[in-house]
Amino acid sequence: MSTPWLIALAVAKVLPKKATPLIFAALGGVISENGGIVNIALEGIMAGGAFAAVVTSYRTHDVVLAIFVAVLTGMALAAVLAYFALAQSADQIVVGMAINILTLGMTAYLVSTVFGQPGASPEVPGLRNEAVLTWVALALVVVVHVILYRTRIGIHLRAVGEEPRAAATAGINVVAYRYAATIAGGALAALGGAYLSVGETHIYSDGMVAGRGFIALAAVIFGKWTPFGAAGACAFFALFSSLQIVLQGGAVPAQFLEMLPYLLTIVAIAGFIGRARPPASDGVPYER
Amino acid sequence: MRDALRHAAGPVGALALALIVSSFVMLAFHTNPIAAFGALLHGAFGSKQGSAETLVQTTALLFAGLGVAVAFRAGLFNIGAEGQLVAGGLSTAIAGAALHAPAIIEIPLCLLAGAIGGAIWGGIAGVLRARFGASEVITTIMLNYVAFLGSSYLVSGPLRGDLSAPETAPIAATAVMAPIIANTRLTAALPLAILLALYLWWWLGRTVAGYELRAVGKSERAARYAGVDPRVVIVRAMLMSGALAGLAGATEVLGLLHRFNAELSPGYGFTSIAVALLGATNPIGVIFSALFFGALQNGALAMQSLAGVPKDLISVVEGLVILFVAARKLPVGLMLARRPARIEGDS
Amino acid sequence: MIQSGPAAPPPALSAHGITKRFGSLVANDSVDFDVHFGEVHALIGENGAGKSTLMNVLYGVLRPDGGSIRIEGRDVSFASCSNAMRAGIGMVFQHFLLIDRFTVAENVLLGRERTRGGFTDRAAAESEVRELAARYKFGLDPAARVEALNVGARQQVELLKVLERDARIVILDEPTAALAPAETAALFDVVRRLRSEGRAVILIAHKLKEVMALADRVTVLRRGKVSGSLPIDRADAATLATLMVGKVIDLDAREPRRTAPGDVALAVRDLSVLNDDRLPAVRGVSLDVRAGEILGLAGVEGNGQTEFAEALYGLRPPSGGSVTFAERDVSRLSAEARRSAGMRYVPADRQREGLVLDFDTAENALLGDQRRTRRGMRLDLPLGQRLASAIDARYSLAGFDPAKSAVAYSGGTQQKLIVGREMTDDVRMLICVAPTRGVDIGAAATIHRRLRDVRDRGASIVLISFDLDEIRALSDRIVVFSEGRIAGEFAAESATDAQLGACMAGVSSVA
Repeated sequence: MSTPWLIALAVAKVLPKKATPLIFAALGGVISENGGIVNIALEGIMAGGAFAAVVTSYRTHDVVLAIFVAVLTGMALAAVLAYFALAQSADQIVVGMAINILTLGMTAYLVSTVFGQPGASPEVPGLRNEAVLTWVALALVVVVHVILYRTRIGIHLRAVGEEPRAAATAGINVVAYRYAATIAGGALAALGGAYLSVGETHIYSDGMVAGRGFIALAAVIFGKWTPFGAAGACAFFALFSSLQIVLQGGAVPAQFLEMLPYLLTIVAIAGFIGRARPPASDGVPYER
Repeated sequence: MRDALRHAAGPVGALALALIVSSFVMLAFHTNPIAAFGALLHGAFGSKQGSAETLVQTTALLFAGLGVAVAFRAGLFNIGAEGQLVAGGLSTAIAGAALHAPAIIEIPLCLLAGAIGGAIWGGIAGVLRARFGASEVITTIMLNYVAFLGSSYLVSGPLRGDLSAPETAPIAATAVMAPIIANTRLTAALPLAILLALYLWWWLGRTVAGYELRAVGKSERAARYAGVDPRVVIVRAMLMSGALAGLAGATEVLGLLHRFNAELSPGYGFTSIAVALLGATNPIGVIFSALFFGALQNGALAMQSLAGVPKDLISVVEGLVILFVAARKLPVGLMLARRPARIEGDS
Repeated sequence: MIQSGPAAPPPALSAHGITKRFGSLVANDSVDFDVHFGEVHALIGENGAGKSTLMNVLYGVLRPDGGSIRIEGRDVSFASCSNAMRAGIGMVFQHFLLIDRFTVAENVLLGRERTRGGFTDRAAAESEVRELAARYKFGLDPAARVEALNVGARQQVELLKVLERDARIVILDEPTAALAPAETAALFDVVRRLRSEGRAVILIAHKLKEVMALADRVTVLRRGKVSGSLPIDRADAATLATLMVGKVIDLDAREPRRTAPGDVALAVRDLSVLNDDRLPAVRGVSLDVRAGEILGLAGVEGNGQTEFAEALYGLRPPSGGSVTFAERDVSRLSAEARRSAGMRYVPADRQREGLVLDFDTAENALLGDQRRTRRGMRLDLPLGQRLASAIDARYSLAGFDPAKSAVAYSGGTQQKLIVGREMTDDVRMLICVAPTRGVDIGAAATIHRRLRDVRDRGASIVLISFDLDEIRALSDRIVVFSEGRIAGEFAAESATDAQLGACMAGVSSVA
């Protein structure tokens, strides 16, 4: 076989692994931002989920339970974001940053305390076939799309994210929807984290999320706040990191391939390739 | 004076709350928070070396924290201090290795190079915001990674000065900022940072440019009415913010590392967000909050070795402080107000 | 109150003794109000009289501090507007609550989506909305996105929201404020149709002509209290105006001027300006203002006056034409440069435009002049304090303290602060939008006196007001704006209400 074919084959093997955690987290971002809550804590929530899964698996050797606990952890962290954003009218960006710093510190602290060694956990039981989660992620893209655009819940959620006062006068509980969307988003982001730990590597190590939460955030913007758009952007971004792995030491420095998602997002948000327009009330506190 | 106390009450309350919550975290893992914080305090201020090292950490946090605070005053949230710090540090390292002038000229030039490097990195976000309405939150996050990856490429490739490690060539001997206290790493960067804080306090409150920056931060429409072009102010604020963060990187290179490598910053740029918020975005307040976080970071190692509490706990404290300062309905909250990310009226 | 016979059914809605306070301000002071089915009951009053507060109480948005509400004779208490909606009340707000990116059908059916097998049924929703729209002769495409609609069509969407729920009691909050004349006529037909369908309609208005044309009964609010309530056949414009402002308006109270106007100071030629949505707001306006002259710019709010004012002051670049001031083309100059040339501006939106609410009084007294008065690079704060004290001396700012944030003052006091800052002795050109809106009568008189005074000192003044009385009392000449064009020009002494009203295309304010 010729070299391009070999490269394509290798990329096809790596790409799903790279794309899956991004898709989970980006879907989480899509849900919460369509409800009007900007979630820049995706990075921290992914780390929280990844860590919770590993600890649970370490203690119980039950991977399904581990993933379940990861999801719960993500929901709890997202609930903190929602509480401060909704009940405390705090700036969502500031709270998101706080949760990122808090979670990254907390997981590192807990790695030392729980496993008795800083930096990383020992290997724990993990998924034997993590491709299952890839299919789950793809299915969720469709599910989230259908919910957002074809069900009453989705219409209500988007109404809440666009013009909360209009939603409220139509009898929709704005605050409840925003809590629910943020927490659901946290669950998905944590699933992405769990994929990284008990799915792919079977360990937790500090910094293992390595900016994927922010790439997912970028994918949400790049995908214009839609599930298919965001998932497409994740696949596109994952392609670059796959190429970077496959082409190690190639003509293009690895850093440039890694940099592309970030650069493209800047280009997208500046409106050079069609305006990326968020939901009208995304990030705007709702005061009754 | 009474005013100052009143302004300090909120941040101090947030701080107390953060320390209480993190104490509970420690208790949950069977560690004695009093012993932990005692060790931390000892490490931060227990010796001349310890205190000096606290001030070393304070210096970088103060520069970067002032940068975040200035942007905040203009209604901008600069999450990119870390990337601007890297851009500044790299620029300084390049200038320091290339220039060979007497120290009295070389050091200011290197500092200037760092400020310019940071200003360019911050200014990109400013221009994108002013010209295209692109949220500076998103662009600065993305620019952080571009800076990390870009500098990583440069020190492993074109700018690699040493074959054994990915770092730049050392700066000229005349570019080195020497310690101002023997046997410590504390340089004149600290007094420089404090002077800058005082100047900035005066500038924001007493000059026309500072007034206009604050006006844009509070009400873009009122600023336009007053003949101010918000786009110019936004770019200026991001240039200043980036320059200050760049100075943090520059003084790290000139005083501590003497070259640029990946050890430049243990996340000063991110901690500086907490520094700015705890300092209520007031430059004088930022001096005190930088000292607090400097002590926290420096004491963390002692806390880890003496009390067996992992040093990462201080990130928990940091996150909690931001959280409580941001809470508007708790008595400790600061009612921080930002403008929405989109510019009204013009594009 | 209308006397109803013993057999008469209870009113559709009746409110008794409604009281609502905001801090020390009593917005509604034991207000009684009722409306019957098949009736249009107009509620009128000046801005700040408490109309919106009362409606928000009736619609469940605000909780009253006292009083009771009955629907068809039964006591009700609304915790939220959903309760009110369920009780059969529908409200069309002045500021539409529509979702731009949703379609007409999605907006109309929000909260009541049609579903089939658990999924939304777009076809059913659209055919239903199309039918409903056709019944009221609305030419709306249910599949169109709201962001593509003009103001009149958006209002129709709001009306459909109310009608889709088959609200028996319909509240319309200043429905004509932003409408073009043709749209207003169409709206009137809809209101009459609602009445003939047996619905109870509450019409909030401040244009008396509309009230006279539509209402069966009218209630006047003044300073939170009912100052009168009467059937329309016993009402005339003069009576209602008196009830609204509390004194007989003497339209001959114009003061004779002591000085004659000088040469042309401001010359506007073919000026065109776009609004925020990049649509034409001002279309080829030409006019002159002399030194020592007040040009009154009358018209229904939203006919391009604000954009015109912003273009004169340099906040909005013209899309065509020119502005010449003191024989100098200033069309491309910044607001700052125009201020330096002696232009001043009292904007319509004092809270967000004329003040930085978080700045203290002294800082706000310098707003706009911060560069002209600079000392080196420093702000002249002592000057700011002196200016603030001078404004206080002239207009007596309630609770004045130079170190106090502007946000801590009442709306009227904020307006005085702006007016005081802008109407300086050396002003050469003043653009004033609704300068007395929301200020008390005493302060309004002071502001009016000051406007004449500034005029007599030789300043050119463009007075934009939505209050025709103010225009007539102060102007030397009156120009009527309609849809961004000059619809007519009048000498102030000879213009009659009828002329002006006709000129404003039948939707004029004749109070």
